[in-house]
Amino acid sequence: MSLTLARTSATSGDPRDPPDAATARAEARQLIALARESQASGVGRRALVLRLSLLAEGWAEGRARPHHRRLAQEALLPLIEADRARLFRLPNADLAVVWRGPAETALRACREALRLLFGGDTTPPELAVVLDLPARAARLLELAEAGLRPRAVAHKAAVRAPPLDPATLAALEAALGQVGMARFLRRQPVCAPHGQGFVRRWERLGLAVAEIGETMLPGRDLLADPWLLRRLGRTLERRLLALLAAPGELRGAGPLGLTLTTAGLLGPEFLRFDANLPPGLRGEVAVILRSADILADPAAFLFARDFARTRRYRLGFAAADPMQAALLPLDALGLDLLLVDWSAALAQAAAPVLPDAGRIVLCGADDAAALAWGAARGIGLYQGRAIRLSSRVAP
Amino acid sequence: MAAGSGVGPGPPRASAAELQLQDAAARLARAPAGWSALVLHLSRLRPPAPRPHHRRVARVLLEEAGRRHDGQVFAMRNGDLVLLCHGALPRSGGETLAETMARLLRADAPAPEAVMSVWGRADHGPALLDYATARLADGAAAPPLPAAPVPAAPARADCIEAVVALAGGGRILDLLRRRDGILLAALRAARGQGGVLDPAGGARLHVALSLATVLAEGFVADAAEMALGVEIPLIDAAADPAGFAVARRHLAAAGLPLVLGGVSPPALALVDPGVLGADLVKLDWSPAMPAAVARAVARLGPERVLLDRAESEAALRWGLARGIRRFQGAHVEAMLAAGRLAACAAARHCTWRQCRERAAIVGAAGRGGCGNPALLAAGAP
Repeated sequence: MSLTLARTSATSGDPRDPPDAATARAEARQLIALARESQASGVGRRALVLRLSLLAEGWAEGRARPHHRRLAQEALLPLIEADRARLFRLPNADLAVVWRGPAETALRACREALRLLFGGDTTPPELAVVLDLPARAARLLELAEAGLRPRAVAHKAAVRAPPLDPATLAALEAALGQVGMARFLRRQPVCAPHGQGFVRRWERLGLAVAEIGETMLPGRDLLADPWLLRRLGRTLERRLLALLAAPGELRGAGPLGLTLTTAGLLGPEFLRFDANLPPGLRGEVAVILRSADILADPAAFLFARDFARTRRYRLGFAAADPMQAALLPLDALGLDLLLVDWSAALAQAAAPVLPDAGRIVLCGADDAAALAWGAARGIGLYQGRAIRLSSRVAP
Repeated sequence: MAAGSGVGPGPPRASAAELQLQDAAARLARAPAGWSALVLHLSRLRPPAPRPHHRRVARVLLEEAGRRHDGQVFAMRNGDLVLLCHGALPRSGGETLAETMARLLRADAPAPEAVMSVWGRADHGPALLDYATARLADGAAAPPLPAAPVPAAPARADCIEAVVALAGGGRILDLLRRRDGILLAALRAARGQGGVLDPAGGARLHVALSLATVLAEGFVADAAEMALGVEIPLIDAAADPAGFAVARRHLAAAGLPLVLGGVSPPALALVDPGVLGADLVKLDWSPAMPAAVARAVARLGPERVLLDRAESEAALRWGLARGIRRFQGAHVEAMLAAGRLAACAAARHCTWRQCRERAAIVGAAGRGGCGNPALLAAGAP
């Protein structure tokens, strides 16, 4: 199959290769501008968005590899080569073609090629979306904004740093003993809608693992091995609790949330943190747990949960995706809050999968689409970059 | 506030706390009411409890109650904790301390009265004195509380962390992959040798593997050739439910069953395994099956449940009463071996133990000596 992508935006090298990050961001911004312009001018266009990011989220990573992206791009060729068509390659690996004028034959050819490439019932139904502009410009804008968020998988593939190994982890843990953790402490506001903006309800506190890695072990990929990361996480959690238990550390602090393991919640550092908790914060701290910790040791989880309740902590479950939320229902877990990341899969999740909107914290709310989805469902708490932007307006 | 448990290695010797409790109990045995005692018999919890966190957290709660109500906590060498205070037992948040402890321990002690004594009436004095005297006479000491948290349970994640030390410079994920690779290679090698992997072998072999192995390219074709059933542990499936769904579809397309393994009774009360759509859910038997587990079995459908670790008559009876018809475990293996011996014409020189041991071996090599390999491979007559 010959390839001429002369009409795509200025790129260097083989245009079938994934664009570099700056180029992808630029193309996403151009697509956003085009969607806005389309809304404003009312000029008729059509767009096909191939949401390869859905494959990365809800699917085996196998099909989201660079050469699959290349094949997908080739499947779009009939449209890309049509008159007045343009290809946009977004940072989250989505591809969008926008064209003017009739291109029915080319569109049919593309659909057929995509069916051959991704076919079968395992493909997410929203994989290829065709939008008529300006009527569906808002949806295109949403997808383009979502496309600005780089995909975790793409990021991992790009880093290629040597992974952490046990010996290096042991050395890192020893070195961490000599380093103050305060400079790695990060807070992320969790906000509730208030008038036209948002008001801060509590803050999630945590140590910035990626920054610790960059500072202490530059050139090593801390995230590559989940088991070693888990062990490092336990060490860091003990350091975090020790830091917060220091006298005066939490004086004047507002409500907060801590993501802990079951072992951390039952460890001596947490008991010390609990003993030193300022009286004003009693009942104002949320402890957030994850599925691996709950299921690795359910008996300890039940004990830890009831202990935390006795000490008047609020309890949350951080679900990786809506399916995990369905697998571990809040009521069965006996927890108060579900923290779930905004994703396309979440938007498509059937309503009964999720608990009451009042018990959900929508995390990773980085764009207008997430806020709009949350608002439509009546979700009361949000965390993400889109919140901070509007928090100026309130309280 | 608390008297230390102060026991190191060496010959068992009464601790200072035990001597103090004995003195106090002797005084109270002569005193009228106006005192109360809460004894947490943590030593009576079923193993692996009491675990360090039970003792650590219980001690914190008792000591805090003691501080607020002029009481004292005594740590016994056997791991028990005693709170002695003036007046009634402290209450907080609308419940007594005994109720709080019962709530915390309910997963480990479904009958809290078995692990807790509350004494305070005038005629309770002798009971406390008897208890204190018995502790003084105790020989065994519980290990002292470790300063650093130890890996909590025989949980999979902890086992893997323990392997870190053995792995040296290797990566853990590679290690898991290598384990699965060795297992599959051994199965391939065992094919065509007259073992259970032969098409005539009868029962299908189920293999426990990590999700990553099952999702790897070429696995499903390989497994289909050997007609394997695949078992994926719940903790893997829960970490990546979408990946599990992909594995399920691929295996179903090849006509292979997918089993959700490693489901402990407390885990089944927490999850809704119907979401994962596995063909079978392999539930571990435990002598204390919470009511929530029976409800979960009914919801899932007993025909989709396999009762694992069925090591006793009680396990079988529990399962049969709930409609479960699939069992795995030492007791079942023993019954099958007995059935085979009774039905087998070639069993004259075989012992029951030999028949069980041979049945547990996959390849033909370990089955030598059996005069009826077809019956052995089929499992049941």
